[in-house]
Amino acid sequence: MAVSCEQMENLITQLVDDELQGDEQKQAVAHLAECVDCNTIYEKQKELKLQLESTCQGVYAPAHLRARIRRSIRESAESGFLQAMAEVLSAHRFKSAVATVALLAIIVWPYSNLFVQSSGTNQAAEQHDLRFIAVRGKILCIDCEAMKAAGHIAICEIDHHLGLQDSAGKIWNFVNAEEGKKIIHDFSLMNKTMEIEGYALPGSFQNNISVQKFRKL
Amino acid sequence: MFGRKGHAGEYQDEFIKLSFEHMDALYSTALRLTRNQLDAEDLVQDTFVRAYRFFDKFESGTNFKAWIFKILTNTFINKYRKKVKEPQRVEFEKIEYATAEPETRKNLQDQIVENDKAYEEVFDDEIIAALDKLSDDFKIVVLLCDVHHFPYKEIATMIDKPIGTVMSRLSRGRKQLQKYLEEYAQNEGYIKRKSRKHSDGT
Repeated sequence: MAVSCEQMENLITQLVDDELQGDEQKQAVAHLAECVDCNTIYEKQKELKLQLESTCQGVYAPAHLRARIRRSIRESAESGFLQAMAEVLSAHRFKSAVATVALLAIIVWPYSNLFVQSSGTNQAAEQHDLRFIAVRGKILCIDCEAMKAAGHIAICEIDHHLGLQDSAGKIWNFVNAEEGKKIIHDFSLMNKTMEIEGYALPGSFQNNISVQKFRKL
Repeated sequence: MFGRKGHAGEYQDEFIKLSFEHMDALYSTALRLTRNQLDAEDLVQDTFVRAYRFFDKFESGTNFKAWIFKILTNTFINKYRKKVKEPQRVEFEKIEYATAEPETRKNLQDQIVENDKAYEEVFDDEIIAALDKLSDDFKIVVLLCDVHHFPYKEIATMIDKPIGTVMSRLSRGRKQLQKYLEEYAQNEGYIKRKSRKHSDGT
């Protein structure tokens, strides 16, 4: 039985994706051999598929994402259990609060030892693996702020030294390297709200962030 | 995960070994779905954390890539879809350009050319621009099928729809993409004619 051009529409899609078998496949191929219009549609779809593939496959995840995900998996190993419990509880909306508390207590208790252990090893690993964070807030001059805090008139004589103050009031100093050096003396950013992503440097006396990425908000 | 006391490290290593090889594929899909790098990174991170949390539900021996892609698409549909509908800041010009009527577009072209490289990107990556215009339902199916070669049956499981729906979304999605690409091609033709005229005239 011959296939009509209307019927071919679906068959072409399947043929392009190698989803046809047996008689259907034979019929579709036979139709394409005779019908120029359908064959053009088929060739165009095949080309589009190849173009989509080559365009989207050349994209690679940024290196810092791997580090960030490793870290969140490690964290999830600690807190995941509690989160999962919270999801179960909110999903079922237990009527009795007593039952909820009792259930949690029963389940968490045998693992309380493990909690202590795993956070211990995590801290040790933390020292070798920098914490990737994102901070948002207003750009200001760290030196001017320091002068103000000391009761002086806040004007840097030569140039400003920019940093970011987050919503909690914490001031972040950009490490003057990589992406950081692009913004540390860019005075046009003064008073702008920005989001900075990077590695928080542990153990330093102030809040240093090694900037990997920044954007204005 | 806490039930496997003493093997927590092994369990984590096993997950990382299975999942990290799909990081690039997941990221490129996330990037096309969210259309910006920050959201794409968040989406991929969410996907990995969720996958890790439910890793004990994964049946070993079955297709891990399909399993983690299902988590990605579900996370996107449930969490990110609303968010990315908001206008994008950096790419405003490009989106304005891509969604403009042909007449307005011709005017916008001149501005964009003056301004920065955005113009080049639109035409170099017309495929990306066309994908960005596609509705999420179509885009998800097109990406899963054309870029990642999942069979219809697996895509149907991932999006919880019958195979017939997968097929019709695919063929409609591809048709729309072709329509957008033809529009771009026409516009590019316009620019080439225009620039030739300029260089001849002066």
